[in-house]
Amino acid sequence: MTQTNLMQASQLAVKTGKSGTPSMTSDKDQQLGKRSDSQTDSQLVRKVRNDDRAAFDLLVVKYQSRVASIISRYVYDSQEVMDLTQETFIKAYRAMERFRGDSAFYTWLYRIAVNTAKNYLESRSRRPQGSADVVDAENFDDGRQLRDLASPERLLHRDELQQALSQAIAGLPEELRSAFLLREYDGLSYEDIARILECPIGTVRSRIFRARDAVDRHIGPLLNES
Amino acid sequence: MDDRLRETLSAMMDDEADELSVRRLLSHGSPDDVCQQWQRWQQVRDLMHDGRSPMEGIDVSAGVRAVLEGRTVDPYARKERFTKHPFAGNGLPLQWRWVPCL
Repeated sequence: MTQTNLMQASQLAVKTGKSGTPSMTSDKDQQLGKRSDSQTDSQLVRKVRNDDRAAFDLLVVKYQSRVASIISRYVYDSQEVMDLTQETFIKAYRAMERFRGDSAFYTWLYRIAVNTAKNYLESRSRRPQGSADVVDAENFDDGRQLRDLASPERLLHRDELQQALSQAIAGLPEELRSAFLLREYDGLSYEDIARILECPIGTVRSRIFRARDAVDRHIGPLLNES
Repeated sequence: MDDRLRETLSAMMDDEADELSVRRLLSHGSPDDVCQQWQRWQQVRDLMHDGRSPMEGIDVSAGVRAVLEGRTVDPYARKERFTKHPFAGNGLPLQWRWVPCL
């Protein structure tokens, strides 16, 4: 089952829900789903402010790919992208006291990432000619890394993972699969899913957890190979 | 980490966990277990949504933690920096020197 098929399966799950309500992915519902997007972030930010380093670890893990993706729009050297991503989080941690919560945490983090990348580029443009050999050396090393990333082994591994993921989802009991896909692909809140599947919110929560756990157990060994 | 805590973590993935449960989870004795589980589920989500495998992503969490705990050099210091030339001044134009800090 491809990713497109999975999404179609999710849509089918909505259409064939017990309530038979076809408008579950309306704009209004999507907005409701998005409204609570930052709830976990707010909780974690509060913990970080109380010096909870573990809470910050969770924010790093959650956003590191997105931050790296933003930075890579400005900087093409993958090693530098990694360094600047790390720098972004360190800056964010140290500036956390100044985060007033006027915007979503991610918006704030995004600004730090963009500024970090821009400052880096600005500093490079001032670099004296004498340092060009160092730059070349860095680029050479990085070029090798980029080739590795696109290697057939990695592409094969990605395909294997996708296939294992599809199998894992297809193998889930129907009630777990429906709840899981409604959450992951349709972005519905637990409350909305409970309404569609006509079950208590606690059941939705439990089903999604069990689905996530089963998928994780199925593809875990492949993830570990990464 | 027991199933109740893992269920809370799963709800956190979906922004559906209440404050008390989050507090209970974060005060769990083994934050590394919590972080590892969180990371794996984030990886599964990345794979589902972007088709991106963990091998193609990056992981700076250990590096960030090491810097914040003072176990390694701050990247600000490690990275190439422009510093004022030590001999600049006395009316001379300000000069800059690239100093690779290790």
